[in-house]
Amino acid sequence: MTNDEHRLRRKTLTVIAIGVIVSAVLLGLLYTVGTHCCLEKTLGFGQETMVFLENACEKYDRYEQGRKAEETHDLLAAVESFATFLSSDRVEVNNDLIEQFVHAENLSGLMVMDSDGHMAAHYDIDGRDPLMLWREELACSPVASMYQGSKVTYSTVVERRGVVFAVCAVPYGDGVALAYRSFVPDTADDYSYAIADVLSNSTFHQGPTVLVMEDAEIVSSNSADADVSLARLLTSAGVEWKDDGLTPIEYRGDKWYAVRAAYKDYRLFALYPKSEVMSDRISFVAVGVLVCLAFWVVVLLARNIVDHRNLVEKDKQLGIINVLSAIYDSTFLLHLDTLEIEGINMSPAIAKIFAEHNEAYDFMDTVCRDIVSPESRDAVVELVDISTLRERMEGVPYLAAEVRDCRGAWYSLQVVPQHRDEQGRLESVVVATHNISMVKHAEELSYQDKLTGLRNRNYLESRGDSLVNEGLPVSVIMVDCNYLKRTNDIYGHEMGDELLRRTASVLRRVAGADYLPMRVGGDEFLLVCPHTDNESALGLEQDLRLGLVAVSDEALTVSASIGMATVETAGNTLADVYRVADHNMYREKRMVHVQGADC
Amino acid sequence: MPGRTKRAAIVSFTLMLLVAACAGALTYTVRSSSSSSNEADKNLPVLKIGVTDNDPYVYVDTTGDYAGIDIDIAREACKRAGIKPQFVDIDWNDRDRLLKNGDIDCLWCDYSPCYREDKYYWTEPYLTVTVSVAAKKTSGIKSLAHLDGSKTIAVIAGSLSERRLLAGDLEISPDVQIKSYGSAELCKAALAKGYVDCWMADVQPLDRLVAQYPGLYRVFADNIMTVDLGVAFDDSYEGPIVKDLNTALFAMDRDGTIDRIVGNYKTGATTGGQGANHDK
Repeated sequence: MTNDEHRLRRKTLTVIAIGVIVSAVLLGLLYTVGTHCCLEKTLGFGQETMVFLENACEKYDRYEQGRKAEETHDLLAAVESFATFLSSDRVEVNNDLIEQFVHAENLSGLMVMDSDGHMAAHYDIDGRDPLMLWREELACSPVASMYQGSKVTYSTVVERRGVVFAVCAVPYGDGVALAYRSFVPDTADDYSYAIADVLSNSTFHQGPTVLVMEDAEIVSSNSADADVSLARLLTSAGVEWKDDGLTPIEYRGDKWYAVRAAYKDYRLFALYPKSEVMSDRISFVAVGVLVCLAFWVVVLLARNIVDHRNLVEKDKQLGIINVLSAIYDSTFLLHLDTLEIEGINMSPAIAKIFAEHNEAYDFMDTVCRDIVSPESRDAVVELVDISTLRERMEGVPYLAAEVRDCRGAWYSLQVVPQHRDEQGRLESVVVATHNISMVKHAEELSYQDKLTGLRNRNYLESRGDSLVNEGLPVSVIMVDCNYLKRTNDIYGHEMGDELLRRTASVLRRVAGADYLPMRVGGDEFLLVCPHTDNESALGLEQDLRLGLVAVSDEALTVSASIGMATVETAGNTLADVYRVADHNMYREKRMVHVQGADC
Repeated sequence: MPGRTKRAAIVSFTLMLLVAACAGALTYTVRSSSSSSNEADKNLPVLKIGVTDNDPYVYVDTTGDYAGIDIDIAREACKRAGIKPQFVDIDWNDRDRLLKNGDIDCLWCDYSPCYREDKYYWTEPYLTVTVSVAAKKTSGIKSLAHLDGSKTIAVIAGSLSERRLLAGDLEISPDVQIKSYGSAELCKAALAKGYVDCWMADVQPLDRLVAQYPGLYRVFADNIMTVDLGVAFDDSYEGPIVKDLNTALFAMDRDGTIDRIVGNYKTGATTGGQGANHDK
C-alpha cells in the first residue's frame, strides 16, 4: 500500500469517525431536546391541570364556606328564636324544655348559661357533655362579652370528635344560650359542587391520574388505582419535588412524571405515565434527523453549484499545481549525526514529503519511491547512502549523479560538504537537486545526426575509449557508402540524402537494441557491437550487405564498403580499432573503385 | 474532507464538550452550594413558630410551602438573627396551651399586642396595619355613619376589631349588630350570602375581596384604626431570641425590607394569597 493510499485511508477513517461522533452527538442532542420538549409540553399540561384543580378547590372551598355560613346562619336564627320560645324573664329554664326545643329545631344540642357562667340547663341528643365539648367557645371573647350585656352573636364551625358542628351563641337573659348542630351529610343537588364530580366530568390532556388530597388522605381522584400507598408516596419526604418542573416518580414498577400544587389544606397532584409523556420523542428525533438531512442536502447542492461555477478556474489552478508539483529543485541540509533534514529551499512536492517524513531515511525512501524513476533509484540510494557518505566525501569536493524522475525529467543530484567539526569530521552536507532536462535535451541534440537520426561523431568522441573497452569482445564495423558523390552529382543531393537514410535504416535494423549505430562522417557509418566476436561480426557484416541490397531499387542502388575490427582484450584505444576497421574498409573500397572504373 | 470542514467539525465538537462541561460544572457548583447551605442550616438553633392560615400573612402557596407577609418577614428576620425558622400549623384557639407546653416557641401570625401586653412576652412591633370595612355596593353603606342599629357587621371572634366594637370606642353607632365568626372565611361567606351587611377587618384581605369580585364590593372608612403587630412568646420566656429578633426587625424596618415584603403582597402584586384574614 502506497503512502498516498495510507493517507487516504487515514483520512477516510477520520471522516468516518468524525461522522459517527457528530451523528452520535446530534442524535444525543435531538434525544435530549426531544425529551426536554416532551417534558415541557407535559409540564404545561400539568400546570394547566393544576390551575384547573386550584380553581375547582377554590370553588369547592367557597361552596363549603357558603354552606357553613348558611348552617351557622340557620342555627343562629334558631337559637335567637329560643328567646321567643322560652322567655328568660318569665319561665325558669329546665332540661325538658330545652330538649323540646332541640327536637323542634332539629338541633344537636343546646345549653343555657346563667349570669354566673354556670350551666343552667342543657340537652344533647347524643348525651355529650356540652361544657367539655364547647369550653373553648364558651371562653372566647364574644361569649364573654355577652355576660356584660353586649348584643354580639357568635358563630363558628368546628370539628369535635370527628364531627363537624355549626355552633352559635347568643345572649340569653343575663347569660348565654349556645346551640350546636352537626352538619348533615352533603346531599347532592343541582347547586352542590364536589371535586369528585369535577374530576370525573373533566378531560385532561395526556390522561393524567389526578389526586386531590388533604392531610395525606385522598379526597378525590379520577383513577380507581389511586390508593393509600400512592398517597403515602406522594406525601413522603423521599420525593424531591421540583417546583418548576416535572418530578419523576416510580410507583409499582412504573415510571411517572408528577406535578403538584396546593390550595389551602388541599394538595393537588397530576401523574403522567412516562410512556405517554415520551410518546412524541421518537417523532421529534425523526423530524430532527430529516431536517438535518435536508440541511445537508441543501448544503451539498449549494456546494455543487459553487463547485460547478468554479470548475474552469479550478482546472486552471489544478494545471498550475500539477506543473509545480512536478518540479523537485530543492536544497536541504542533511545532519549526518542526528539524521535530521533542514530545508533550505524546497519545491512544493518535496516540501510536502518533508512535512510528513522529516527523518532522513524515511524522507529518502519516500522520495525514491514516489519521485525517482525506477532506473535511477539505485544511483540515488548509492549517492546519499548515509552510512558511507563520510568515507566517500573524503578528498572529493562533492558527489554528483544524474538521475531521472518518474516523468522522465533529468536532475543533477549533488552532495556537498557543509560543516565539519574541530577534528575535521563531516557533520552535515548540502544535498541539492537541479533540473537539467534542458541541458540533457541540448546534449542529446548535439549527439544526434539530424539527417539519419543516428548518433554522430560528437557522441563517438564523448564516449571515447570506453566504447571499445566495455563489453568485450567488441567488434567495430565501418560502413562507407559507395557512389555517394556520383549520386549527388547525377541525381542531386536529395537522392544522396536518401541514399544515406536507407543505409542508416539498414544499420538501425541490424543493430537492434544490442548494438550502437552511428554516422561519423559524410558517408561513413560505424556499428559498435559489444559482446561480439569476429565470427559474429562477420554474420552482422553479411546481414548489412543483404540489407543494403534489399533497400536498393531501380532508381537507387545502395551499396557500401565495409571494414571490420574486433577487440578481444582491454586496453585498446578507439583510434586503434577505428584505424584497423577503416583500413579494412578502404581495402574493399579500392576494389569497388577498380570495378567501378572497369564498368 | 476539506480542511475547513474538518476544522469546523472539530471546533463544533470541542464547543459541545465545553458547553457540556460548563453545564456539568455549574450543576455541580449549584448542588454543592445548595448542599453546603443546607449543612450550615443544620447547626442553627430552631425557632418553632406557631402559625395558622391567615392570608395574606400566612398561607400555603401552590407548591405546598408556607408563604405570606409574616412568613417572609419571619424568614428574613431569622436569617439575620442566625435562627432556623420552623413553621408549625396550629389550631389558633389552642395557641396558649401549645405555647405553654413548648410545642411552639412563639406566635407570629398577624397577632397584635394590643390588650394583650401582659399576657405574652412581645417583641417590638414590626408592622402597623390598618382596619377598614367592606360592604356590598348594593347595600347602600358608604360610610360608618350608615352603620346604625339595622345593620349587621361581621368580625372575627377575638379580634381587635371585635373588642373595639364591643367597647364602643369607634366612630360607629353602638346599636350596630355585631356578629362574631370563628374565622375570616365565615365572615367572608356571611357577607357574600347577605347574612351580614359589612365586614370589618384588615384592609389587605378586604382589598383582595374587592379584587376577587370586581364591582361587587367597596371598602370604605379605611382609617378606623391601626394595629401594631408583634411576635408573642410565652411570658416566662427568658432566652436571647427576642432581643436578636428585635435587632433584626429594627434593621429590616430601617433598610426598607419590611416595606418591600408588604409591597409584594399588595393587591395586583405577583405574589398573591388565597383567602381573607383576621386582625387578631
